[in-house]
This record gives sequence, structure tokens and C-alpha cells, in this order.
Amino acid sequence: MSAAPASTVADGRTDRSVDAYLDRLFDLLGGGGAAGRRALTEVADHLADGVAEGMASGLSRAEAERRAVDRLGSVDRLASQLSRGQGRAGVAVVLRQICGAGWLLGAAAAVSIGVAGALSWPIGRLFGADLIAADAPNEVLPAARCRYLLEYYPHAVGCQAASVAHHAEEVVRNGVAMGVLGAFALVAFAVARRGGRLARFAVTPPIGVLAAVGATMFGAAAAVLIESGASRLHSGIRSGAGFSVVGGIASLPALVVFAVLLLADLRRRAPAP
Amino acid sequence: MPRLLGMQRDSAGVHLDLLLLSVLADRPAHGYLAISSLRERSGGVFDLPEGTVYPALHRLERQGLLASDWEDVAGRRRRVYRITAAGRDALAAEREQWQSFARGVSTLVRWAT
Repeated sequence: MSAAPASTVADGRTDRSVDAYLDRLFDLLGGGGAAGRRALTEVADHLADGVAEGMASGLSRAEAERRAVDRLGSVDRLASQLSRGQGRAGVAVVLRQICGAGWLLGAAAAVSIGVAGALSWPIGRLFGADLIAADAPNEVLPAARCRYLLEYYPHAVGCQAASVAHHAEEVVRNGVAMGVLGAFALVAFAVARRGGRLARFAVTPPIGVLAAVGATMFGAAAAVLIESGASRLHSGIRSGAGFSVVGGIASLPALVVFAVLLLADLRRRAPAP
Repeated sequence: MPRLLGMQRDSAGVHLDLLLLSVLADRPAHGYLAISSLRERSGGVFDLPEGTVYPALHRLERQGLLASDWEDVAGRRRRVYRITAAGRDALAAEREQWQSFARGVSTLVRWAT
């Protein structure tokens, strides 16, 4: 059997352990009712037999578990095939995975926006608020709007500067608020996976797929935003250029996380030499 | 290769349904025992990806070719599958088609240079 080393998950089990396999199958078959419970029980029995047979042939428990899990094959494929027979439940598994992916990727995007908002504050203070706010340089504002802005930004040198300061402040405040929401969404995902009514929506898709989508999404965002900001600065257009660059930079941590996950998944799938 | 009786083949081209019905025609068995029997009786030729077997068992049961129940086996509660009368009819028809097909292939291969 494959000698590829098994990576470990948080509680010390290997991701090719029987428990990890059954946990994942439970997640994927969640909502399958009696048919799902029956399938889970049968697979658990099957794995128990496989482990017992492996240990009887001299393997350690960990080796026997890995062999039993490898023989059953991909848990995602098994869940998909089992659910396909349950009619709409097969579609439900895919929809749940899409919900889970949307939840995680949306939360990660919100956290990145939060980081961009937080980084924008020192950038605005050091290099000028116009780098952060996307106000047109020669925009003419109505008199009432000017009075309102100057009331809140009395130190601004004119209506235009007050508008820029106002919008720069909004960029920072709204961005950070979005980041806090994203962090809450990530915590909520972890809590929902432990059980309860939202658990059925907190199902992760296959990690390789999630990582590939995440790396592509954040990689594209980083490239587009940095290029856009840099080319505007190069052309002498300052308004909002700094926020574009900062937004691109804020996408990089998520890109790195998803890229590492993707590489780890590819390495795990590679055949043992 | 003809698709016999609408039964499904696994990725190795093996008529999984035919194999499972054949094994279960001899005696009722739970999934693990069915897979082990299949492996042993074929001399290791049909060492199937085990994850393909349960969806196939469930499908055959939905088609009425198998029936299953929870039973105590060696002190453990197991889902035991047994072939139905409709399953035996399907197996007989499938076996006949398969043997005819195998004879044809065998004849062709024998005369090939």
C-alpha cells in the first residue's frame, strides 16, 4: 500500500484515519436521513473489518487504518455515488459543498478587505488621503454638500479636500467593518461544523478544489488590483490608486494560504515513489 | 462490448453487478464479505476499488435484485444482502449473455495470428 506520509489534523489523527474518513462522510451525507445513516454504518463496519484484517496480518493500527481507507477510495466520490442513488440528496451534497465554499471564500475575501482597510489608514496618513479615496480631482460639489463636509472636517483646505478626507475615512471604517464581519463568518463556520441547524451549510468541498478556486480568486484579485493601482500612479493619477495597491497586497496572504493548501493536496495525491 | 441487461460496469470494464449477484447467489453476505469472496473466488483478479461496491449494492437493492436486512453476524449488527427471485432471473439471463460473449471473444482470440 502507499507509503505516502499522512498529514495530521488538529486533534492528532491522520487525515487518512478511519475517524477522519467517517467524519468527512458524515459531513457529506448530512441530511441523507435513514439512507445516509445506513450507508455511514455500513462503511464504518467495512472499515472496522478492514482494520482488523490489516492488524491480523501484522500491520500497526495506523497502517491498517490507512490501508482500509485507501482501499475504499475517495470519500468524496463514495459520498457522491451513495447520494446519487438517493435522488435529490446527491444534488444536495453538491449544493452544500457550494454553500460551504461560498461561505469560506466570502469570509476570506471580507477579511482581506478588512486588512486593506486597516492598511489604508497609515497609507492615507503618510502619503495623503487622496491615494485612498477615489474622488475625481476637480469634482465640483454642491454648496450644501460642501457646507456639510466642512462642518465635519474644519481643518480641510477647501471643499474638495474635505470630501477626500471623508471618503478616505469611509474606506478605512467600512473596510475594517467588513474584515470584522469576515472574521465572525470564519468563526461561525467553525462553530457551525460542530453541529446544529447550520451544520448542513458548513460542509467544505474537496480541499483541492477549494484551494484551487481560492488561489485563483485571490491571485487574480492581487494581480489586477496591484497592476491597476501601479499603472494609475505611473500615469500620475493618485485618486484611489493607493487603495488598489493596498487591496492587492491584502489579497496576498489568502493567496499564500490557498496555494500552500493546494500544493499540500497535490503532494498528498502524488503516487508514492 | 455489449451492455448486458442495462447493468453497469465499473471503470475496469468489469460487470460489477454481475459479479455481485454471482457472489450473493451462493449465500447472503454483508458488503465486506461479498468483496472478500469476490477477491478470493476470482483468485485476486477482481480486486475492486471497495468504494464502488456499496453504491452498487444499494442500486441493485433499489432495482429489486437484492434485498437486505440488519442481522447479527459474529456479535455485530451488519447489513446483510441476499439475492431475490428477480435477481436470480437477471443473473441467469446476464450469465447466459456473458458466456455467449466470452465464447465469441475466446474463439476470435484463439484464431488471431
